[in-house]
Amino acid sequence: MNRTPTDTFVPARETPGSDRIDGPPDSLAKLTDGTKFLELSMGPQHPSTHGVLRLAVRLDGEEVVDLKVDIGYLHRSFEKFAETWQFPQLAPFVDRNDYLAGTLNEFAYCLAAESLLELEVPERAEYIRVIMAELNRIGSHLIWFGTFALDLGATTPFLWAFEQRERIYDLNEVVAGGRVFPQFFRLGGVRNDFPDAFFPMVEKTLDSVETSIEKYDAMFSKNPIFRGRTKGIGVITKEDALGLGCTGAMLRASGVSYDVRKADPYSVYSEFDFAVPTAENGDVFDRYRVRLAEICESIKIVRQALKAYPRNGEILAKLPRKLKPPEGASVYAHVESARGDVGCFVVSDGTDQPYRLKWRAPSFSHLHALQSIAPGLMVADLVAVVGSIDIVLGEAER
Amino acid sequence: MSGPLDHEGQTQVDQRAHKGDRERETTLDGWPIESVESQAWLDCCRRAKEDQGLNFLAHLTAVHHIDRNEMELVAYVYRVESEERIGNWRRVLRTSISDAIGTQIESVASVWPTAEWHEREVWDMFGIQFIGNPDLRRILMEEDFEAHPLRKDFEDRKPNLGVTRETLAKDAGQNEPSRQGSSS
Repeated sequence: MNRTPTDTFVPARETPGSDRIDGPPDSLAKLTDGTKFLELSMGPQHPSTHGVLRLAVRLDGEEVVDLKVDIGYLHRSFEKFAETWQFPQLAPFVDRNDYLAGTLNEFAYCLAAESLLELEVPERAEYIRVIMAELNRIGSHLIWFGTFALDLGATTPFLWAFEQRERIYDLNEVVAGGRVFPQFFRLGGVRNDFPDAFFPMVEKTLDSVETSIEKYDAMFSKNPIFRGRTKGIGVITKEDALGLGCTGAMLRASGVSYDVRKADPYSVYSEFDFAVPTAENGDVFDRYRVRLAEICESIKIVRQALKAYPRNGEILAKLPRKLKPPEGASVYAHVESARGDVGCFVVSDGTDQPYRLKWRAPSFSHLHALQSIAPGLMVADLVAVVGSIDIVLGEAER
Repeated sequence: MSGPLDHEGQTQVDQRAHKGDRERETTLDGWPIESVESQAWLDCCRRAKEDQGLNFLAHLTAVHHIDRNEMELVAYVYRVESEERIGNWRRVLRTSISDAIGTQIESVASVWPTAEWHEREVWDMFGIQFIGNPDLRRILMEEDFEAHPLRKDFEDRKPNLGVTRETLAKDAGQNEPSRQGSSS
């Protein structure tokens, strides 16, 4: 039976008639057996879309034949704004790009701005940065775990994960004052040192997260229902993942051991002993395994950093009164965020504002990859796949 | 390949002397730069992937140099293989084209599929069209938006509503007395 559509799928716009680039929306293609495809909009307001995302799907019964991702609902012209702000002013702003991993975003921006302004970061500040960044990664992965389980229909793990994530936020609050958006990094270092209350808290938090990861693993990894929902679902091969610009757990679950912290070490990551967890099959289950393992690796890094952390020394380099980056120069810094390879490309025109700033967001490429993964999936599995990708639309749309 | 790409090659050559990063062999932070003419863009990208094994496109974007009337395309590519860095593993590919809206250049989506969305974003934000891109629609702005906002000549207003600085100033002038009246 020929079930393939003859026309290419262009999703109908939400507002018909306003379509200037596509031409008119195409009609429903007829199949050889007399039935028709169903074109459906998942989102923009849909609990499984983790934000405001519209998935235009073409269905043959319950099966996805084609899918187009429609983004832009959260676009807030970050890159345009960035051209009108001074370099130090931008550091707290980038938190909002990926609102689950604010500290990691600050890391990328600060690295780029520091290499443009040729600032040296004191060693002590580097350790503080790494500790805060890894705690942020743990928090972000915990949120992912909770919402992913929720997508699969399990409500309780969501509450477990938030309980642990709350501890991470408490740490943010003790150190930086802010909970979701710590705004803790400054160009040339960090804002303040760890208070004394931080050290016992962080030990307790790490122990607690470690125990709960064991609990999640016991509840999920051997659970036949969970395995049935995730094994062999939403597979992306190694070649496709690379071509489609996947990074982070998406790429590592497909068998590529690529982690910016190892491949292009920044800050003091080369001092720590940690592994890059990978898996072979590139399915939803493997992405879950890789992310849980990553939480354990992050815990390891924090523990090592707390041991090696120099107790004395500067935490913030002196910023020159007048910022004078070289005219016409450009820099690109990338870090391993919770979702993948986050990059910041800055072009300077010699003033204290960026001439152009481009934010490379892993979620942007992952949403593109979703278009290739989706055909052949059931609708319920599509929800699981979207959950496993760990998208943050604030980051994809900037 | 020929035809639509006949944009002002001559003016570009004249202005080459001013090109900031273009005069260097690496960027400020040490990425090797490979600059090519726009006609050679697709070839350059294909060579980078197939001959040099730079299999990962991190991002592709544009920089609008309005003083030179040119649009610079920048692609950051590297090799993703293993945990270790091997030899010549990263590169910045650059080319320059005219900054006129609708200027065309070949798409590199056939080399790195991920370029499809990056090129959509460049079309959306800068008004550069990519020949051979399978799905060149706006991606972040709404579909009936008429301008390309990251261009340096973009004016911050809604062009499709007929609102200009003049009409805004006129409206403000008209409303001023009544606003004062209501507040006092």
